[in-house]
Amino acid sequence: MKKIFLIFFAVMISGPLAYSPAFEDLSANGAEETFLKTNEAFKKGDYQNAIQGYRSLLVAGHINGHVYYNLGNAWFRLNEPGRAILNYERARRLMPRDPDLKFNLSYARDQVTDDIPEHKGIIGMTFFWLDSLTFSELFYTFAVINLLLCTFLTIRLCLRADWITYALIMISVFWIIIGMSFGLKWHQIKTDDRAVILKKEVSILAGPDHKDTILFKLHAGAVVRYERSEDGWSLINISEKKRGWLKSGELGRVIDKS
Amino acid sequence: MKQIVRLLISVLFLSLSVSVQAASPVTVTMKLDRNEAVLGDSVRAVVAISGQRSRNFKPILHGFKNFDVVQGGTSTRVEIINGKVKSSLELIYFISPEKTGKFILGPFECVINGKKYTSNQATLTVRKTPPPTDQERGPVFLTASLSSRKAYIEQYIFYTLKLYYQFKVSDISLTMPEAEFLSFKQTGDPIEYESVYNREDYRVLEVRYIVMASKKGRYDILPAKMRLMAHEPRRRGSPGFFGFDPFMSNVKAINLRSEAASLKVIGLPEEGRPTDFSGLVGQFKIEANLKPEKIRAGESATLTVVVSGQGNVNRIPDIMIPELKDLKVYADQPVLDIKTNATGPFGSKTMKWALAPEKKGVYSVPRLRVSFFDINKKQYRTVKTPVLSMKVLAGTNQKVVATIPPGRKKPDGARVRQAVKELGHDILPIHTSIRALTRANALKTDGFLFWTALFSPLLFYLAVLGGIKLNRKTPNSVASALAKRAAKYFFKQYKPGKTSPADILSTLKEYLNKRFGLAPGAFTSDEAARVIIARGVTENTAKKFSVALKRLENAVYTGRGHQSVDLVDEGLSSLIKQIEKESR
Repeated sequence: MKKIFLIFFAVMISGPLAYSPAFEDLSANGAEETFLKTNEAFKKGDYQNAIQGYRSLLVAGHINGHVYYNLGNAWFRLNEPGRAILNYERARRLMPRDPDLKFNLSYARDQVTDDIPEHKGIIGMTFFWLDSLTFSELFYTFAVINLLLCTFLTIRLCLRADWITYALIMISVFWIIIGMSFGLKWHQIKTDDRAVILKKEVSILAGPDHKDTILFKLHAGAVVRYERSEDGWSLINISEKKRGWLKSGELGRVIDKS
Repeated sequence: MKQIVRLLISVLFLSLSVSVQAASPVTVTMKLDRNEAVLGDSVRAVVAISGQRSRNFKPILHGFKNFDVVQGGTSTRVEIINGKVKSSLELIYFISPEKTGKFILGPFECVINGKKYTSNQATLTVRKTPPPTDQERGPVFLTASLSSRKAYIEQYIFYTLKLYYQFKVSDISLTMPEAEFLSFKQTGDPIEYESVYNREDYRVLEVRYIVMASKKGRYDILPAKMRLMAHEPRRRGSPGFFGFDPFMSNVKAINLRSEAASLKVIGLPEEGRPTDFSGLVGQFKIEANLKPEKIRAGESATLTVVVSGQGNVNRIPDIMIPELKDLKVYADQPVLDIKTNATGPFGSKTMKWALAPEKKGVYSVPRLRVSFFDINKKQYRTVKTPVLSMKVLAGTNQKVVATIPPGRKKPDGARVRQAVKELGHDILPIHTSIRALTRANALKTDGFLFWTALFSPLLFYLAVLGGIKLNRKTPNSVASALAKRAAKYFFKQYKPGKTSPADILSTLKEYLNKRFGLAPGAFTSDEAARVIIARGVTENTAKKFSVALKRLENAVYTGRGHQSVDLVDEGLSSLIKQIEKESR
């Protein structure tokens, strides 16, 4: 019986351990070479090729904050603030505390014509640390806390001691907080409907047709909320009273669903 | 006491009036309620004299020769702002033009306390009254007009909407016409005045828009639509203002449409277009200065260039400074200032550079230029700055620092520091480290390992909990465990040919107790048979068992219990096995 439990324990514990970066297969050599070559192209001022290089890395599966950051820089150099901000926002999801990214995003936002304030709900204000942590970081933290909690619960089945009870209470509190943060972050990622205007100036229409009334205009870099798409048109809003349609190609979604 | 109070109040008022008189300087301004009128209209002119409260002067109006002038009254105002007292006097005149043309009205002159003050001038364009038409427009109607039917790309023209009404209107909502590549922007607040249309008096509410086309072509501007509530008075006995009793009225919603308008937009000519033309259309000028003109090597001078004018100001390009030998140039962020008035959009773009010479000498900044299309002259023009020079004297052997000049010293010897001036803006460079590729990666939530990592500790805990619960010893489980071991125990104790009948009997009874859960104690062979039959054993087997039990009892009770009795032939072992097989 004991042997069965030991084997079972080993299998269960290997789950979290197996899911660590050390075990990921990077296909390192090809990606590194592409990254180096693309950086060289950027330094020489060949921004179009640099953009292609960074995109190829992303398509190959290296969804990486630094790649998005570099891609944003390349678009910025090509005087495309909309695409630059889009890629900076994508990088921000993966490395929100990077000081270079914060600086460049702030600088790019200063170039934006439209003044659209960023709204934070009650949850965002209460769990203010969510924006500073990535989903991966919260996942790993939660996995460790979860493991600790279950370990202490298991120990408590066999051994009753005061220190185990106190430790369990403390770990439970952390488990609840980090668990909620992890869940909210997951929800935040799944429901992130932000999009960025890519074209220099776009007209937001009352309906998905060129002939419809122009309601208002937006400019490159403006961050809007995406609602849905229909026949090559997308419905967006910047507030409850300002909603309208534009061509889907003039917009880039922060969560790349493609 | 009362006298003292009165004296104090008088002194207070006197000092206030004196302070008012002495507080603010006198300025005179003149303003018209509009710049265009037709014959028969009444235009309101207001002359404001600030710093003056009483009308103890004789005003002189210049430029009103072709106008019938009626004085409308005066008003005074006293304000105390941040402890300072400001007063002003307003003189209102209603002027009616007697002939058509463009008139320069003013200046207004007055002599106050021996000093002469004059106001600004104002322009008024008077047109002919449109001929009366057979078609009556009614008491409320809307008109739309363009200042010009032809324009260049990005040239501003005016679109004027006028609501003529003869009774009270309210809740006005306006829907402007829309056209692709055509933008409308309102200039200022709506103005109200009285006018004559088709020999009838109306009040007019006028709104002006600046219209600009970004693409050439013919534009058919659809009518503007207005919806309002009209308070149409009912006729009663004695006529009131406008011939109606204003206190009795019918309120009804009215929808109005203006006329449609047509606009032809032509492209800017290709011929004569300067190479540096950025699409600027209007009237512009460029100014530049370089200060200080004399510095030492290691210091910096500021070059300021301002491009200002009227037109599409947002198109003013950023002026580029050519590379200058031995001169480092640091550019500041340009500042664009756009405003709109009754004549259209105007504004300026200010660009600054810090010039830091590396060695002594005379440095010249070449002429900087900006090109635009002059709407009035209908041709391209290029305006330039003069050549600016600065003399650089020998400095100390210090490195050139354009941002912070050498610090001054306070009287007590401590160095005065100044804020670091920002000379340029740019983004930070890309991340080139290979290690960056292995960090900040996205986490995949659809993998088996992801879910395993989350749930495996919990599953392990539940497995342990379940195992513990299953292994817990209950009375039933103990009894069933003992029952399972009863036969094993018997065969362990029973050694055919070596065990005495007494021992066999004891072992057999113990077997029965354990196997069938009987309470320890004596029982007869028949009782034993009944018990095992009740547990599913067949009668035949039970009978054999009862017989064997009797024989053993007989052997024991007859004094031969200690002797071994060969019961192998009786098949006791096989009997027990049979009982085990048949019982439940």
